[in-house]
Amino acid sequence: MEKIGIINYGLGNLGSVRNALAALDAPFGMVEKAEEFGQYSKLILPGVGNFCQGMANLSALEFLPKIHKHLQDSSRLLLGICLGFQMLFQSSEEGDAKGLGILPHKVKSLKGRGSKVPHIGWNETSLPMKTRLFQGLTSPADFYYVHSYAVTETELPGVLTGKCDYGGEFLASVESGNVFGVQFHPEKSQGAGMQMLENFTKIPCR
Amino acid sequence: MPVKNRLIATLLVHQGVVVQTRKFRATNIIGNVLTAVEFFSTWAVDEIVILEISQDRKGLPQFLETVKEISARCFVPLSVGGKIRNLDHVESYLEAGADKVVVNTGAFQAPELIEGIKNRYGSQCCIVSMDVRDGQTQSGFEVMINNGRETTGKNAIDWVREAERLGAGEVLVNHVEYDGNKNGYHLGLVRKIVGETTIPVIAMGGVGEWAHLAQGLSEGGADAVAAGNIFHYKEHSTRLAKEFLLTQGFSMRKAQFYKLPKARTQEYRPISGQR
Repeated sequence: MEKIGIINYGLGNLGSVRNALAALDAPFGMVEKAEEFGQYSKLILPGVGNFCQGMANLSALEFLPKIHKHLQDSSRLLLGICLGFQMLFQSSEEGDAKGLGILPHKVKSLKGRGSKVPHIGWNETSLPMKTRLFQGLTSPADFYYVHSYAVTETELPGVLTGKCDYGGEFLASVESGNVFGVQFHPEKSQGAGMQMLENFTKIPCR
Repeated sequence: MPVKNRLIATLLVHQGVVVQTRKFRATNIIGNVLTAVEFFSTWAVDEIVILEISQDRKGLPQFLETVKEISARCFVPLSVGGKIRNLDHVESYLEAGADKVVVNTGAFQAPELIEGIKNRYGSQCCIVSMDVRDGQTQSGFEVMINNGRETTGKNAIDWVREAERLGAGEVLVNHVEYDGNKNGYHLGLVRKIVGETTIPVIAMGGVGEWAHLAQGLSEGGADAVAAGNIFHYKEHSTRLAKEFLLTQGFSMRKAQFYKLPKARTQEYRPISGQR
């Protein structure tokens, strides 16, 4: 199994992601400095918090070019979780900030869709395709969500691998080449989430 | 889809051990916190709430260590509370691995604490817990603080509205007289709170049979139902509770068995600076 680097950019729940990988007995380390990126063929970009702050921190730590460089090598993988997932997109309504721009579309507020915001709790997630990340799971699967923003544009053919509905559909999961991202928290979604994380640890880098 | 209703297991920790309470007084000692959490986490609960209820602060350092160990083995959301008076206390719980914090007396005495949590960590991180008894207020419900020992004269509805306005993400409501009585939640209180807020409401206190959980959701209108005492005495209790609620037609995550691949070890992993 390739060693996984958890990107520490000073925001969010690194602890629970780390605990999950430790419980799965997966090899991992924390990426604290820009020069440490080269050690890892798989990265996890976790996060809970504000989009602007997240991008500002990644930028201040000089992590942005490192993430792009990591992804230029198609054998290297990246998994974004929650805020880490949202930052893969072009931009966000949250503070009107620019994202990493790896995926199309803008992250939008869930407000004004007739449901309570933030969206907190377990929700059904449809997994329309058989994918490497969701092997062993049946659709729909229940995952745990905590977020106030989402990508509500679900026209991402060949990229969308999971959808959730909360006052309208939004992207729950994507897979595009060597980039994976999930809006929910696998590290807090018990059996289904741990299965997904285990799958990620087992995807070969090639 | 609306989010699913949640089944929450509550653990009350008093001087380092899990206890049962009745009307907010610790009665029986249940035992080891880690064993209890392992059990809940393995079975079907959707969330775990752990509250430190000792009278003094002496046990807090040990409690923090316990939270660290729990969070290393808990893969459902973990909410932690007890004697939070300022943002430093909040941070220490979050650093120990809590996903959310539960504030009660500290927030009542200094409501800006709620705002502080919202601004620094977001509303989703802040559960305001409110202990209530029947009282001479406009709603007939009065807020109690200090583990349900001290009266405040404050109308429970006024407080819950204020807490929501300040940025509470959820409210956990317990009636002092119903706690540990096995007669079910105070449904009138739960219904009233649900009607006066837009944030999720967690009902707690008094569950003596699975039907009480169902009542909390249907008649009380709560978003989530919590119980503590009842889960300690029945084998596979959380799974049975979940299955009961599913057969009653509630929208909930299926009762799923999840056994951690790695057995628990005594080894201590520091939260930061691994390697």
